Amino acid sequence: MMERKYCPSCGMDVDLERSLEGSYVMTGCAICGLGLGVKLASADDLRRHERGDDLEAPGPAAGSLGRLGVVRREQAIVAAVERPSPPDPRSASVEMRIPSGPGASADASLERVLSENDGEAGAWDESLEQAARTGTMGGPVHQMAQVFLVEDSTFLRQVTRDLLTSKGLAKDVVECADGVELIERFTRAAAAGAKPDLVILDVRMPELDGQQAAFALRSVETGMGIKRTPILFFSAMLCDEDFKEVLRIIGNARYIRKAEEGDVEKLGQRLVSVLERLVGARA
Amino acid sequence: MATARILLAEECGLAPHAADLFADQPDAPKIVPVKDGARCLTAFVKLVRARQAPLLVILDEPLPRLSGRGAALAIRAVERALDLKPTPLLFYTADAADDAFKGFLSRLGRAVHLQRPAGAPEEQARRLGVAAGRLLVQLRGK
Repeated sequence: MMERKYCPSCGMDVDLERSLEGSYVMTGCAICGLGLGVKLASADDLRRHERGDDLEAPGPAAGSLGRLGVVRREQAIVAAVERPSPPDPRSASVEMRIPSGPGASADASLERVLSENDGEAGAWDESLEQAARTGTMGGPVHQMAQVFLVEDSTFLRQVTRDLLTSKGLAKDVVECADGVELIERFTRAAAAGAKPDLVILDVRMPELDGQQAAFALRSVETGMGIKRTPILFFSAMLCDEDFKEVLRIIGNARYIRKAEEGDVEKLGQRLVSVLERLVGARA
Repeated sequence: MATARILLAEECGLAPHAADLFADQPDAPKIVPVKDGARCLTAFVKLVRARQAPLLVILDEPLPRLSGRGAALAIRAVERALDLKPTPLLFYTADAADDAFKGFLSRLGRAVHLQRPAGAPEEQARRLGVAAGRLLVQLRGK
């Protein structure tokens, strides 16, 4: 659940998110992590207040003044949850804590930042495959309008670009030699209201490598308030547990391992054949 | 007039001591603490989209997810994409700057390095405040 609120620490309107951490319902700033927690029991009371359940059957003595008192109490509790503030010692029903240090809560908060644009972290955008399933036979079932291809090997980049266009998988392929060029081109495209259907990303690259570039891409998307672009990592390195965790955090990302052979044409064909299966295009 | 902001990306506990570091500066810029390079870049993009580009970005190295170097490169890429003037960057790191890092700073442009002294975060924050304050005075003079 996302909301935009003023964060006193960042001094600007930022996204806040409620999430469950242990026995606390946390509300935190998506930028600095400043937030507070409410115990589950208190959160239940809060939800009842929000629904107005406790207003349905006021006690015999509760007239309009009684209702006003309930509404004020409700407003006070809602405000306490939504606005990070120091704990009020007079408030017995709301317990607060400020997440501190670079611990698990900070990591969890980052995940929330990076996963705010779709439901499940690590989920792949199924729309490409759905488009393939519902397409017609015989021609390109689903042609992507634009693909960003990020690869530091000029030859492999060119071979892959040619294969992607000649097989009708992509109408336009934007080549980027490294992660920095990806961020620059992506930001320019997004600012103009256009973004690619897919980013194919090598992992080992100079300057900003694939993993860092993917995190940077997600940060730019979050900062610009746009939905995550599917990322397809294409790398010679093994997708170990650490990298699987990276994929999960980055979200909407998949991984294809480059074949062992050093033949650039075969590498390009391998990528394209996997993409063909993925998006269902036919030559 | 919008409040000037300084992004502070670090995870060594400086942030709680850095809130009032620039209270005596002419326009009292506000410190926005972030815990890693990814959040730093998100905050940077949000600020530039709100036409409130930060006065200065202070980066540690390393940082989780997106390192200080990675965040700096991405910030420069975003600036080029949006035709923005380069934001001053200050690396405040535990390690001294070797030749490779000096070359990196030179390629970034408008970037300086300050070695973080060993010691308590309060003292590290104080030193940062002094150095960044001088840097801001220099930047205003230009």
